[in-house]
Amino acid sequence: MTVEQTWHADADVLAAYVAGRLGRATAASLEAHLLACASCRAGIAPFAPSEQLAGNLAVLHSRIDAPPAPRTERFLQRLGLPERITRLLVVTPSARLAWLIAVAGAMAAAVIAADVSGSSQRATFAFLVGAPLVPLGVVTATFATRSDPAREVVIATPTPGFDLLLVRVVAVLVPAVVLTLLAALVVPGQGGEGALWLLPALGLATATLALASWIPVRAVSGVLGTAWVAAAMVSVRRAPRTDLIEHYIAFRPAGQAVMVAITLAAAAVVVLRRDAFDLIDAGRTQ
Amino acid sequence: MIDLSDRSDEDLLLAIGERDRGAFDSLYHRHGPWLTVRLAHRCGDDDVVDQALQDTFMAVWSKPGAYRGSGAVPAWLWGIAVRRMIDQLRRRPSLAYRAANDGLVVSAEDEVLVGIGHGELGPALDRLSPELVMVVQATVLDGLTTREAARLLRIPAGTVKSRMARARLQLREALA
Amino acid sequence: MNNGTTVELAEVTKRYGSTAAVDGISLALGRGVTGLLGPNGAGKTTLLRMIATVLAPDSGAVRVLGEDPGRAEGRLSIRRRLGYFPQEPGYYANLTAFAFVDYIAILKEMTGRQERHDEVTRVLTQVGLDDVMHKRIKALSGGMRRRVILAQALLGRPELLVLDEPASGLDPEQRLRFRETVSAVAEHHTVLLSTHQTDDVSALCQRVVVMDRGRVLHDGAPDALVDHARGHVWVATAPDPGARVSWRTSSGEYRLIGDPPPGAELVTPALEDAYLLLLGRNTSAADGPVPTPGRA
Repeated sequence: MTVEQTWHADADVLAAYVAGRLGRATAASLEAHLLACASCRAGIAPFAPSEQLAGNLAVLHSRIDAPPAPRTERFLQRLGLPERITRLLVVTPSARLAWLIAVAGAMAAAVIAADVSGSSQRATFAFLVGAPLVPLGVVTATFATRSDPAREVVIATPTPGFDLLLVRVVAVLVPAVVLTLLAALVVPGQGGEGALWLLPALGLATATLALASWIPVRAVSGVLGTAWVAAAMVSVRRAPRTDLIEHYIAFRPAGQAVMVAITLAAAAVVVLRRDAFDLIDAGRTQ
Repeated sequence: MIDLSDRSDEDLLLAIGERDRGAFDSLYHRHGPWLTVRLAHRCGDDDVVDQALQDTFMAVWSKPGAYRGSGAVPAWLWGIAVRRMIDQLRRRPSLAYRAANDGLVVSAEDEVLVGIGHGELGPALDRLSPELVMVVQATVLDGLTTREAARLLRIPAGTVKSRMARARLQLREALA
Repeated sequence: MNNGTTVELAEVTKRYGSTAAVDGISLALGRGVTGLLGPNGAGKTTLLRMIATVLAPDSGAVRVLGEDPGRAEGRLSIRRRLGYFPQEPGYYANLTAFAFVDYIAILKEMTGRQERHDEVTRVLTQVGLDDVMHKRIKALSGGMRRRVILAQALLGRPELLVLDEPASGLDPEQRLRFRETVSAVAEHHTVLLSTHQTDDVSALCQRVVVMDRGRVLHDGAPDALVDHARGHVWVATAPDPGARVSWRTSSGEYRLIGDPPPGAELVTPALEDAYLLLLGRNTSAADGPVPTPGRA
């Protein structure tokens, strides 16, 4: 400061300020004075918590030396997510991101191809049957060993495996569902038909999670996915081309209600079986 | 912990811009203590204080050029620190910004001891209700905008303005 | 816990298909370093996984640090006091060593930043990685990567340290450093480590458990194991049908382990001789070819 201070706080006052023993108005005056007076600022140093200061400087040095956190992690932290979740999301996404993009691309291609072929009812039906396979694949991939190379180290920590799994499943399921919903806009659907896949998708995904607490996840998703597609093929075998959707029970109101029931029941099983996810052999093919 | 560097704050910032670790450490030793103490008066949680302090100096390290030379370096540093603390508090809804030395009534004797003359203002400030004190502290003393103060105190911006007006009125009456 | 027992197994069995990887093992461990010695496929990893609470036994009882890992609360309590180095440790290659250990520290419920930072720095320094802790793991050598995993196991000074072949892939100097680290921890805590190196056992362990094909062949002090081999190790100029194992040493003579012929030149056995003798006996005692367990 260029302005010479005419008054200085003595050591007793500074000590009282540090200890919180000054009155409101006095503390306020002193704080205003400190901003302008280098010698009083320096006078505080002997009373400041030196251990805390040294510790913070050490952290600062290592933060300066450390490469910055990935941009995605900083973004997620800014959204208010706790560190253990943001770190979890950024440490394992590489394989899955590629996978998501591939799925999105494949679906878009399928949609375009079907659209070009001219039969819009067939395109919609193919989309509705194919879309639930996306969340199914997502859940399966989340379990795969490769998706978390440090799985065994992570599982032996006190943080419940179920919590970690849930965070991961939600983190990939939400983008997958959003992507697929976007794809639905491209499909020449009639009215709300473009969203009929949503409940079967939830049913298949939660059922897979529930069963994976006993049986290897790949077997579960293989069987469920195949059954889903096979049932669709069989039920529309003799249907007229213009009325495919009506012929698959899963897309009729009764079938949709069943899917809701399956989702709720499976979710209940997952919660009851949460302990199983604390072990390394949950959902794994040995 | 005594800062032996006789370079000015502005010089240190320039040197930090050239990745001078020594200048950084000097600036830290010079300003870390009072910033820590003042932050601790605003929030009792050590972790929040540590985070805010570290984030402040990280900001200084990564962008020393953000100091434009208007106003003094200490005020600039405090401006960063209090805003970093707000970021921390926003993430921890259970913790709150608090009025310095809340509930402490200072005797005339103390005032004499301290020897800082604020005449009638001291008792008048002490008589303000806690909500009004918080608003005065956040805006006048800590230099936050109405919107920042509103977010910090978790009240609407309109309430900050109306409380500020009430505080001004009460102080004026007390001094009249 | 009575008389300092930290790990207690009673009739523990774990099967993979028709093979018992761990076959009715009972064991009690206390403070200090216990070495788990055995060939590949002996069931060491399965046993360690059950003790580390990441795998549940098919039958039998496991108690670790006085708690039952089969119950959620027990498991949580154990995991708060456990350090684990799995046999196939993975890491996130793109993270720095510091960030990786810091992440595990977060999962180990160290929420205070300052405290966590100090602890992460401490363990990385303890394993000798202080110079490279801000390098990405993919840029580190194999031995350094293993030390990163060892560092995370040391977080929070765990009461029980379960290490599955932690020293494999380390060079001699790193091995020495590793022994120092482990023996420092073992002064106050329980360390259980598996290895197929008998010299790790002689150097570190107060107790050795030899396992083969899911069963315990020996449990006691390393010296007691050596005693078993007295009178069964000899040297000769040619191989002998009475030897279960024999090899030509650098001096050109044969070292033989088994039942010596009369008048054989007996020598003092080393731990390795005793271990080989024990395994050799076990193999010839079993009928038919050696079964291959599904998972070691």
